[in-house]
Amino acid sequence: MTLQHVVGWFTTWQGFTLLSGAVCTLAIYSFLYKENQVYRFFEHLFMGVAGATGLVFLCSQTLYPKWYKPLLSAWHDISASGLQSHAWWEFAKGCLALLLGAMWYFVFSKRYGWVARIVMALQMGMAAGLAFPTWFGLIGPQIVKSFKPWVAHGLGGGVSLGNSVTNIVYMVTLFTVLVYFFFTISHQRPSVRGSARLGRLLLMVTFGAMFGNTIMARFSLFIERFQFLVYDWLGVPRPF
Amino acid sequence: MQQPWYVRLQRIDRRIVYLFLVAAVAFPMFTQLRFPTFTTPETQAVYDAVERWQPGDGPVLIMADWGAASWGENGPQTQTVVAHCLDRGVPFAIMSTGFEGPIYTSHYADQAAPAFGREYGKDWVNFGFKAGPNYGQIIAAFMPDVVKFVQTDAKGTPLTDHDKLPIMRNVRTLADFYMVYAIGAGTTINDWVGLAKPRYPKVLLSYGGTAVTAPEVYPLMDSKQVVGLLVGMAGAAEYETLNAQRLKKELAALRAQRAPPERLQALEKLIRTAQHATWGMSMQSAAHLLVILFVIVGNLAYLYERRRAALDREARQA
Repeated sequence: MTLQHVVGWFTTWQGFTLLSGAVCTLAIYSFLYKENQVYRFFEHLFMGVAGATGLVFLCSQTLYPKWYKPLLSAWHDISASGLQSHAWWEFAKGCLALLLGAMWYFVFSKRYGWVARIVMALQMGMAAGLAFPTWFGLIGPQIVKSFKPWVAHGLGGGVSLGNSVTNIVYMVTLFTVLVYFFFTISHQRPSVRGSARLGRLLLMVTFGAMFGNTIMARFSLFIERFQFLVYDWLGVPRPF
Repeated sequence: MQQPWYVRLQRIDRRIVYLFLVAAVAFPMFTQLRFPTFTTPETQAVYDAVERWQPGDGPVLIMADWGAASWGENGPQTQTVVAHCLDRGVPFAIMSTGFEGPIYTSHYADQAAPAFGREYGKDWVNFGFKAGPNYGQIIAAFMPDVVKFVQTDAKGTPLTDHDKLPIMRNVRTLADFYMVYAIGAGTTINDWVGLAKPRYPKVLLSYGGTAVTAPEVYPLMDSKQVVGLLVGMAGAAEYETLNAQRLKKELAALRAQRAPPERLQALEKLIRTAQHATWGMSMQSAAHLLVILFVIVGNLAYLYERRRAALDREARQA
């Protein structure tokens, strides 16, 4: 970190961007010490900036080119050509989009809130309709592939001990976890007790692995910010 | 009264733990300690899929559904795959259901393109941000007619303008793509597998996700629905290692061919800078070692406390 680098924070646009990023990062991380007003201010600032940026992008990249321009163009065409115009369908689509979008805002009305429920139901119907093929397309092949051979063969054609053990562990885990979730049969029965306990143990191992992955993900996010603070903001030379 | 050491060890103030964590993360940065990176089969599979691409196979669709919140993991995953595609001449299209992903991804493409002599419109295109109420609905609308759904690229150029966007010449539906590489903080790959794979089985699917989502995606690899996956920063580091080996050979070959100096400089810069995840994993490994140390110390203190309590009970009874 040189004096020139520090002066650059206040004299160049890029330097000021780095300084702002660093101040915002450190302000958010101040929460780790204790709850404070600086953290609250920057948290709200982030939410505001994110919301505003999202709105601008939505308007500029979706609403304007995909809805407003085609609608306006169709209207001009209809105004010029009248009934001979071929733009009636485009105009109708644009008006329908406007109507359905506007119906959402009735959620703020106590008397006419039911109008918003119509478009909500449409939305949920579409999502439910897509959920069925998605689920079958996702889960179907996995169910088929769950039936693995207990004696597995390697690429060379001979029996592969590693693959066989993997498959056995897989099948045992699958079976015992399924038994654990059969609540219609009492888990105190001798025939079920052992399997259910093993299934629960294996579930705990899985959750532990998932938690470990979560820790890794959080560390990764912190490391990226730390690299920004040290290499970009403070200007420490990178080892790469 | 001061608590015994074995109780204090179990109740260390979290702020002290954070300080230790910062020190552990900073240690590899300033000592240039580097842990070796071993490539896992999942990452190798994605790399091999890009390596197997042949002219005529169609472009890769990079679904950059990530933002600054997951930059630490998804950023290097995107950067390294984009560099690989540009290096091999694999054309790709960038799209996203969020507004940040295409900006960062096209920035990576702009950075790396000079090193390989690639051009926008010919070697890659940015479809931009596509809004929709539901990820599945966007995929369902995109798959059968790409041109009708996307209409223009992020700069407003119509996809039918093949003079400016020659990459789109033979692209009509999802079937014309070679692979979909979905990068994101959530399991967006599930919708691609559920909706796209049954209808377009020849299109490969790969995933670059945060480490949190990886356990949900491993079954997709096992059932061969997904060709490979990059798991968090570790996956990106493995891919960077594979890429770096390739790029260094390429640099040596270009030097022997006396390639233009600006291209050599751009490639040298790319080799130097595309190592965020590799160095990040050294810091990650140091942090994990610290966590393991704290877990061991905490558990030893706990076991000692229990043993001490049992001995005290026996002494009182005696």
